[in-house]
Amino acid sequence: MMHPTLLPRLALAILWAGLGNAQTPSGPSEAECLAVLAATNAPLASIAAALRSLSTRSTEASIPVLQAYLASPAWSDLARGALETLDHPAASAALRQAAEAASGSTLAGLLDSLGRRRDPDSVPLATRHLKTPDAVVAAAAARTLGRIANEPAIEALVSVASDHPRPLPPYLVEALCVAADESLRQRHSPQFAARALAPLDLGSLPPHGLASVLRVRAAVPSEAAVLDAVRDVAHPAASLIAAHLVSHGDVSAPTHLVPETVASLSEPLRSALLIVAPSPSNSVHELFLDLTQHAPPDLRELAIAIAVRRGWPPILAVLWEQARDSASRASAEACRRLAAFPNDAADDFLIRQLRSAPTAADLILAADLLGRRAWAPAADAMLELTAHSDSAVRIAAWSALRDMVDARGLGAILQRWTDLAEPHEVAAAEKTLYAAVTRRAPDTAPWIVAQLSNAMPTVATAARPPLLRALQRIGGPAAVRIVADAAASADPAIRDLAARILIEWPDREALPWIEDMARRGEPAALRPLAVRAVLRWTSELELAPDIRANRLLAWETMMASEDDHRALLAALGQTPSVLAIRRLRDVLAHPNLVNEAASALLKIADAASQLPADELRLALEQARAAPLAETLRGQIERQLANLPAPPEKARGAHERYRARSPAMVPAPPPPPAQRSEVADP
Amino acid sequence: MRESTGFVNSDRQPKLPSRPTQVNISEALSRRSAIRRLATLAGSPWIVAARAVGRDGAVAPSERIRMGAIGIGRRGRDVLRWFLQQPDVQVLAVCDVQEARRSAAKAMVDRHHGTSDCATYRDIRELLARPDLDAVVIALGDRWHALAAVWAMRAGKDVYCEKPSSMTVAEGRAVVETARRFARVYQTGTQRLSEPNHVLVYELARTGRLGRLHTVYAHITPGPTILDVRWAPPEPEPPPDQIDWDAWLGPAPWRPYNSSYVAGNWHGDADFHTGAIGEWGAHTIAQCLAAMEPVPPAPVTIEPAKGPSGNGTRLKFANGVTMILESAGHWRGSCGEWIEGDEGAAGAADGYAAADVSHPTLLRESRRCLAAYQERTGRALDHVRNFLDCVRSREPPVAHAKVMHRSMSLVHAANIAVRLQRPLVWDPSAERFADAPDANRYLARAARAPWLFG
Repeated sequence: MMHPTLLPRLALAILWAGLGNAQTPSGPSEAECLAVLAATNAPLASIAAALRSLSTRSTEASIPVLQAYLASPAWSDLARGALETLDHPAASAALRQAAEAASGSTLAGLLDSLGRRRDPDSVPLATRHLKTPDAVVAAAAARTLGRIANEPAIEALVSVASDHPRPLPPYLVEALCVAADESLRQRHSPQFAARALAPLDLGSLPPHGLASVLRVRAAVPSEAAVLDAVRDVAHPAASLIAAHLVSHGDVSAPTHLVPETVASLSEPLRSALLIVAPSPSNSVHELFLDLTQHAPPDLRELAIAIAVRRGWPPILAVLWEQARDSASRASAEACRRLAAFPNDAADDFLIRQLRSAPTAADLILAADLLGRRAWAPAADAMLELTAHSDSAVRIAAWSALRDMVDARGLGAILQRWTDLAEPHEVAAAEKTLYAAVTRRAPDTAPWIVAQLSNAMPTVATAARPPLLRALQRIGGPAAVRIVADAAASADPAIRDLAARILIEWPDREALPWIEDMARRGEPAALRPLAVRAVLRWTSELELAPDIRANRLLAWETMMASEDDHRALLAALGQTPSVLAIRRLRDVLAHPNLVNEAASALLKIADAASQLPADELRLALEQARAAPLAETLRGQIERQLANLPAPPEKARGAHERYRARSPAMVPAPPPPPAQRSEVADP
Repeated sequence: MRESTGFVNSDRQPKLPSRPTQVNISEALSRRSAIRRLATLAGSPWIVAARAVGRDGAVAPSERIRMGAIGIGRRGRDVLRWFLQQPDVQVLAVCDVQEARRSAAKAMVDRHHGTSDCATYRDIRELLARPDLDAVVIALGDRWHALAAVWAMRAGKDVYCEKPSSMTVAEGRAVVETARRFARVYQTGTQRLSEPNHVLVYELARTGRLGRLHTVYAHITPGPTILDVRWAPPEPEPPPDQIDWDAWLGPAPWRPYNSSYVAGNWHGDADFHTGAIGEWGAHTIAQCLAAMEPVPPAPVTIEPAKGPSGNGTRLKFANGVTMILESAGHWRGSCGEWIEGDEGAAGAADGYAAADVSHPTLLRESRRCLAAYQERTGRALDHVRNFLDCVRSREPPVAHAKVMHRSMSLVHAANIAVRLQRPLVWDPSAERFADAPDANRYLARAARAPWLFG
């Protein structure tokens, strides 16, 4: 039979265990938490967990239990946390009641919670503690009153501040500012909010205090409230702070500014007001018009800068005239502003200038600016301009098109291609063509290749190379066939260019043609490049390494120079196979190629874990004995040290090899026990 | 919602997405960017020197930005090192509740500057009372981030604060309000908002190269996001000169001392940590939001994944984009984002040589794209440098308080939805859940006195 006291103890233990998991979604219920808090022998951790849980699930039923914990220095913070979020008037009452008897940090915390609940009934309590010598409590009381910000709270703060010796402590200044801001937030009148700020000495106010003063004074329903506020405050930093408030939308800017007012303002407030001046508004329109035409140079420049940043279309005509005057210093800046104008009103404007430009210089300027703005809808107009009679205009149009087109514009570009002949024009158009074929959707390559292929026979010889290079940028089997056809052209310039393009082809689709070129040795000047391209692509073929090595070695007879051989050795180094190792071993005897052969062997040794270790060891030992660069020898030593020790059978193979070429391979060191038995060969 | 000056017909859009040099119209016209435009006006003397707003009496800004470091454990010293590498930074003081850390950081700073006068403080309030500091870097435990930032800004300092920047939505709001009221420059340590690989991803998305966005993936730490409160066995408190336990706890709920907390075992404890979503999501949700700009301030529906991990939680935005929180799947490194549109996808994470993209053509104009970003924003592709530049210019840095609070609010909201295991609708304007009073009770927690936000 169970002991009569055991059952409740067991229940409590289960409850405590459950509270350890307090933060899981299924956490303890309010009743379970309260049971723990009511128990006299609950562990501290369980009490903490229960109080923490109640911060999200307490109801009115929890208030009496929580109230008991409010007075405890250890638990008061968690207990008031559970009450702070509880939307019930009794929660405030419990906090107030606890505060009546509390002191020190506990009292400060309780006052803070009452302030967060904006409990108007706490005003007398907080007021009593405003003058306490405990700075933490006094600050909490002041802040609480600032948050409540009703009439009694503000009166209490004002009264204490008025009697306080100067300078006021920062917490009191802050509380008064909070009260003013909070009062505005609660939609009290600005006059009411201003009462909170009355005790403040403007001359010694910190900037954020001055900001509060300006916020309150600028909150009155007056057209020029912020200007009046700055004037009334008459503080050296008032303009600066007002500019900050205006820029952040904390205070309203006047809706009707006149040039005289703007001219009378100091910076930075003037800039701020011009930037945020509400629009559309005829008055703002007139203001900017006036400032940009009649103001003194400094103010005029400021107005232009702000008008540009606001994207105000009428300023475009001013900028255009400045830009056209290329002799003036303002021209470059005007061009920059037109190019960076923040909306497409500038594009429309420049298109209009393009269509109505009286001179070639204007056309070039408009084309250049539209190009810098990369405005795609201007592409049609720019294409029209590529047929202009003036070659400078045509070149400007091609340059501008570069940032406007993608592959969808290729057809139109190629239509113009038949007219191209001048080298400078071809050079400008070439970049546009490359931009168009580069900006393509993934599945449009065949269509682009077909377009380029169709255009090829129709264009002048001088305009054909860019088409071939464009095909190279696209790559793939269809493009390579067209270039290969061009490589058979009767025109030597086209033939050589096509051959070079094949050699530099970005993928291995061109390998058969390059092999053919290399075998034929034509064009002769490109043969070494062709051979190396063959070696490079062959070494990257997805074939078994031995087969790749075989294909590489088949080219050995075509090697015409030591450089060719070096390229072959490098390719063999990327082909980890027994065949490659054996050939490299042979080359180690060549004094001019020994370093390259050893490097290739090291690459194979790095890459090939599947190769027979004895083959590798023999080759590396042979390399070690060769007249190598010292850095390579060191690498070979390290590589040899990493290889597994040769078994007896391998030693036999080694011996056989030594017998075959005794001069090349030094004897391996014998095992210590057998050293005396090994005869020198 | 776009704000218009009315000067512009903003309905007209370019036909092609590839306009990297084009100025974003909505940004160019927003009131929020007015301050930036103000600051970049040539010759405009409005730029506020750090001490013009923060401290009285001084006239001209010094050549160096004088800084203090608060919280100088392993992470804190790493961040401090980044600052010391900047030529215009002078660290004058360090602060930590642990004596060993204070000594180590002082030695590091003195060695760097070739001096011996770096001051050490145990109490953050003493460091903040120094009038000669322009800015502070805060790398305390998560529980302290918001409070230390609020106190520092009230003391007139600009703040670079490690993430996660708040433990609750209310703490984040306090940081935003303080930065606004005291006109302080605040940057949260979400450094991937300034790293080239990531910035390229945001720019690819912003300039339409990925087409219309439909899904974004935010990387979260593998592990639980719903945490327990785990008390270690009580141990005798060391002398405050060695470890000030009361200050270590700060605003977090009281518990008895145990050395393991101080050694770093506070991670994963609900009193001190924001879980798997907060740990990396503090970065990656901000990263995804950067790619989604402009993000409408409209309600977000949060559909939590089953279980305590949060892995698979979905956040559905009013513009049709779904953000999925994932602990694995799209990345080879940590803290990544992956952005998908109907014309392409891109993403980045730690350790990438270049951003991952669905098609290589997206990388072809990366230099130009990044140059256009810098031209448009005037921001350095270096988070610390961006902060220091803003300390001088008074422009908002890339991860300013509102940016931080917007993403951290989603971190907290997602955590709450996972905790309650039911869908919730988060209203970012009201900073409340719609029709969920029980969920709204998780949005704040009482700070422990005397470590109060005030």
